[in-house]
Amino acid sequence: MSDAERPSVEALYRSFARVVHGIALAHVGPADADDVMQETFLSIQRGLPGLRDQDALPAWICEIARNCSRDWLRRRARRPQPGADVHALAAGPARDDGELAARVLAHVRSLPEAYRETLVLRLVEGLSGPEIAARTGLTHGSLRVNLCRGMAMLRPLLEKEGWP
Amino acid sequence: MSDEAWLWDRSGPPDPTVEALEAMLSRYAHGKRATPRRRAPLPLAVSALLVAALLVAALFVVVWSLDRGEVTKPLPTGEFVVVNEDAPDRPLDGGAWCEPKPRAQRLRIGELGWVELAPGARVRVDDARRGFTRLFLESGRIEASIDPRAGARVFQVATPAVLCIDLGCRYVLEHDATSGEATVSVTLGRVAFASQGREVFVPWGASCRAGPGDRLGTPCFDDLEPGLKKLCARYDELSPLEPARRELVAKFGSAVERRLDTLVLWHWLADADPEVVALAERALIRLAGLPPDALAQKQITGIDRETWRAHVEALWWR
Repeated sequence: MSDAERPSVEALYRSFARVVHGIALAHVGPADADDVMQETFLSIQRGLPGLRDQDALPAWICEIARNCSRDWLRRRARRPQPGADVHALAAGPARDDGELAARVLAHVRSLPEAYRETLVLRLVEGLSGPEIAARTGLTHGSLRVNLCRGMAMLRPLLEKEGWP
Repeated sequence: MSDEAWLWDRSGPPDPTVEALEAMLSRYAHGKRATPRRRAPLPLAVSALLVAALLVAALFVVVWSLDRGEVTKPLPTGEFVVVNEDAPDRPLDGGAWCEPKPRAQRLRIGELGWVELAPGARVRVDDARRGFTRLFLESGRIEASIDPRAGARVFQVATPAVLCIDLGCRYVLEHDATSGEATVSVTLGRVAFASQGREVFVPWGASCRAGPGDRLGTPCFDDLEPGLKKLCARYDELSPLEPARRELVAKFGSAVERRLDTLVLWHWLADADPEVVALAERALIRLAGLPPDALAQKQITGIDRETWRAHVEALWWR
């Protein structure tokens, strides 16, 4: 990719912020997702000059977001954080909408990686299936499978929360 | 299945579970506040007054930002309370000092981001008002990471030499108490370095120094060719109106090849010596061509800095 073809970090931020945030949220949770997003765009900035194939850009960005999330989790494991998923860990019925939302998100985050990421991008970040496919490099077919299987796994978990 | 179609691209009959999940979980989306606080309802008259005041304030901010040619971004809401991450329950009030030893210490600036203080740094919280935070770096090194969605200028770090103003970015700022010199290196976004009413812009990948006695250096990209970097440093060392500056600018202008380095030339347009300005402008024209506005008015010299800025600023983003 020539310098002229290479997009700026600002342009990438505009196009991929929701995807990067969604992947970070799926891995590290709401308290740290913004920080992981920052780390991800720093890594993107550093790696951008070495990127050769523009078609690989979406998958490359998503993989950086996953790596940054994993690094963050490794660092956090060494240093306990205050205020971790308190709502998600509480027993008994949810006290309010906020607590129910936290529990539902925790259930989504408990799914296997492929399902949890696509469901977060669809249900939290509000992207449609075709938009997720364009921004992650996944094919429509595999993405559709991830969404449907993820929802199928999520529904019984929602029922436990008294979901109608 | 209809629910699959709705889940896929919102076509077909709506799936009530998916719709309810979207409504519930959108609070965690990018740019949304994760933990909205509940407040007691205000009386109607007070609410109306508050809404009116907020509208006026928002209008003022938009007009001010447009006037300055800056990008208006949604500001995260909430109080930017400064806390030490090791003791998150105790907010640091104005006047509180932080001196991390022996290991680095991280301050969280509400929803804005964080500042990491290297061991040995000495930092004071100067202002932690709602919607604005200012720290004072007396000595040592800090790294700041501020949410790019935050409004420009809401986070600032003063040093004895210079004021470092965040324009949505991540950067390292160091103040050497012995030499009295401050250096900023930007790793994402952009900062403004300000002293005595003068301001320079430092985009990511660039650094800038400021010395004692209001000496504000010229920002240049870290990978600027070493010979050109020396010319730049020499220019900053010379006092204003020193004739030797002309020779340096002429040398720089004839040797520079990258359009990215219009960053240096644009800042030299603020020089007090008209000869230096003319040399810088000549080099700008060679590298970037005439600005469209100037061409439209058949103007080929003496183009104002803002017209030049509008023309070359995009080149500073790699």
